[in-house]
Amino acid sequence: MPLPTEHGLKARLIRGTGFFRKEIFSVYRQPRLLLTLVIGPFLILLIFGLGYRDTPPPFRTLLVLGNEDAELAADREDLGGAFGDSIVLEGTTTDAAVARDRLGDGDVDLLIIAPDDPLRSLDAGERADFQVIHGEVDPILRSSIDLLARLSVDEINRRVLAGVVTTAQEEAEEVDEPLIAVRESSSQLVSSLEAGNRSEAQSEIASLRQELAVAESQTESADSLYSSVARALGTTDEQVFTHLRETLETAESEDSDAALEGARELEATLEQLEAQVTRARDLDPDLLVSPFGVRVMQLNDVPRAPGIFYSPGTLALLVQHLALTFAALSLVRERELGLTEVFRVSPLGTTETLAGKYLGFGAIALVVSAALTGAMLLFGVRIRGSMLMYVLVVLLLIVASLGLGFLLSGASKTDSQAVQYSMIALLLSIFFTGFVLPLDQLAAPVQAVSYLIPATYGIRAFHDIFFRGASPDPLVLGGLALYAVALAAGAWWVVKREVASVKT
Amino acid sequence: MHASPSARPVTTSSLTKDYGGGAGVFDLDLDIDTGSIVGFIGPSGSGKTTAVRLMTGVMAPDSGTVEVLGETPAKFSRATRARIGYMPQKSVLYPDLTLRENLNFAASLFGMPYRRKKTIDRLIDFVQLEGASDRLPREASGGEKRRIMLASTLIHGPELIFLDEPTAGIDPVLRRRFWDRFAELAADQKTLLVTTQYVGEAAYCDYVAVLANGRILTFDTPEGLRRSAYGGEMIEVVFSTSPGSDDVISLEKLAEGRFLDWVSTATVRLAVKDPESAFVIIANWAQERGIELDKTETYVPPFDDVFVALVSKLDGSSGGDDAVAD
Repeated sequence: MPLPTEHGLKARLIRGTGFFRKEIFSVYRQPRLLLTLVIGPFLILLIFGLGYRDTPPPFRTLLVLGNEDAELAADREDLGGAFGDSIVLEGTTTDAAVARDRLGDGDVDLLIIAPDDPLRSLDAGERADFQVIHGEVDPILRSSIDLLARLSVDEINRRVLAGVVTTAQEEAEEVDEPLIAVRESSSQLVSSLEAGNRSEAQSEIASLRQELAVAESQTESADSLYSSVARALGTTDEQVFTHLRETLETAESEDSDAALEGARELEATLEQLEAQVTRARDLDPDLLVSPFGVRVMQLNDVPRAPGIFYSPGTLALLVQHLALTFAALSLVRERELGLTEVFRVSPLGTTETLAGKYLGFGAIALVVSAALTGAMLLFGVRIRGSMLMYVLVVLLLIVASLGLGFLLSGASKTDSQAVQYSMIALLLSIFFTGFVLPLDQLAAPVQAVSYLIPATYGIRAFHDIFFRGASPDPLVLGGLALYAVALAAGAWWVVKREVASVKT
Repeated sequence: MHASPSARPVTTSSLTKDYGGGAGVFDLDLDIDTGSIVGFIGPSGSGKTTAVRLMTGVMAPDSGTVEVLGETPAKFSRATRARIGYMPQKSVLYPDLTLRENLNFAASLFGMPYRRKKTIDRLIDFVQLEGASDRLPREASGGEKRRIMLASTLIHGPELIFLDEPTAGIDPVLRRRFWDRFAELAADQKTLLVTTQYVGEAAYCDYVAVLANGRILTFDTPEGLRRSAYGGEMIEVVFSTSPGSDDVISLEKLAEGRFLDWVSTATVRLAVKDPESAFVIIANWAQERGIELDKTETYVPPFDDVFVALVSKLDGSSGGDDAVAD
């Protein structure tokens, strides 16, 4: 005789646990499916992570010079260095046609054609352009070349300017000695005027005139140098020597006090000028032409390795894919097997069916998530935020993914169609969740697609928890929770249609 | 045997499901009594499975009414569904669960308590799957799968049981055991509605509905079907020697156009109204003509023959009328 059956809540519990056990056993008996769904994508992404280089290999480059005798030819090694590690200089040539042939044949990746006569272009008030020619089709590599070209020409400009400054500093050394003599004479003038010795002062003034003339005549360009240095150092004097002579004229005044004041001003100006010239001469030319640097600071200590960055995203994708595929296959398989016909005649209800499936598949997905998390920790990925929050996000991600899977299952006529849907979901996830490309790079209407994919929320939350050591954005967490509930409601409707409705 | 109409577990009236192209069931009128075994017999495509699906609520009818355990199948309550057992035509088992696990899952569907191992073991014994219950369905034969399906259907002790070809692929010995079990269930006031393509199994039923082209050709007891098929009871007459042609003509005249079948030159089977009276009449006829008879006895034709005769008769392509020889 059969046992009496239970009723009410207890019977629902028995039915729910029946589904829970059934789903666990079914997956346990399909180790290949589990391996295919988890280990397969995991291995693919692992190999990708290990093999991926975040910088492209250096471009093999041929430098094309218009004239071997040109000034640039002598500096070609230096010119090559201006392009940094992103370029490997394969050689130089003056034959542009041969260079283009080599580029076309794929012998080199880039041609850099130097301007024929840069000085003539400058004299004509025009820029002297380098030409960079490449045959790259990959948009990312093309952007890299554009950036590289801009950075390289900036570096060349910087080097040219540094050369000019070095020359100016050398010139400054030539005017240094007469300038010291002028400054010493001015000090003596001040002493004479303070002592009230007008005749000695007149003699010092005469000497000063001569020394100023010498200093000025020795360095024809010194005046412009001084003025530019003076401007650079914050003074407003553009004609330094004119100013000095005018000050000297004040020191000749009949009024003793005015003369002394003029002499002191002259001495002070010359001391200041001497200090400025010395400072300008001693400054690093590189610093002068590139006075501003940049230091990028990171709020966290996340390693730059791409493998580490992509790990949480990979986890989100794998968990979603696993849960979604199991759920997508579940209902459609039962329909194909004819089991839903039996369910319709049994006292089975929608809620216990769905609860059993959620719990069964959820438990499997949770175990897989724990295993993947362990693997990530072994690979050196750290969870900087709350572990409790991490578990909550994983749970919500699983629930949402299962819900989406059940919806897809309802839309599938066969299990192969369900598999296709789950593969499309995986493909969508790779492009639209922020896994590879930042979400902000997607146009606003397209971002709506992103937020239909549970992994989008999961990846954003994981980045906060893993890397920033912070709790996920409440909007992201709340959004995922709401989405999981909405999908569960949809799944409830699908299951009700499958197991509790009469076919018409 | 017959319960009052209100207590009938299954009642249908003009029940119709039209798939188009002549397929489906049409104008099904049935009243099934509690504690009876009702067989649905008919060739493939005759509408047996559709009729069961309409009665179990798997499918909604296009027209007509059906009431099962006092409810319309489309609106079965949980409690009503718990009183029904349904074995579909196809063996529907989870491929990744063993036969025992499938049975255990079926038990959970009906809310059977967790301590149910003994019940499951007993059912496995009944369907003779003791050594095979840990096999996966792909490792089991078709018959083994049908057996576990039957066990799954009966596990919760339903009072109304729909069995769609339960004996398909089952060996004759086990098939007989199944029918014995069905009889026990009927004796226990369970109602069974069984479809089968094995016409001979009609003999185990209390009532038989013969279906063809989606319609019930006749609904009767097995004996009633035999009578209906041949126009009366069948007897067999065996002559010591083959009768002459005059004797044959004389016998056929005596039968007056009723069913008569010479199965050999010395053996004839014929339909009669009352076998005992017929034996006397034939004995007198033989004596008058000096014919020696080996034996005269009642003949129970196999249901395969009954079915063919019945279908032929209802199609109007065979002879025989309502008149019955004495």
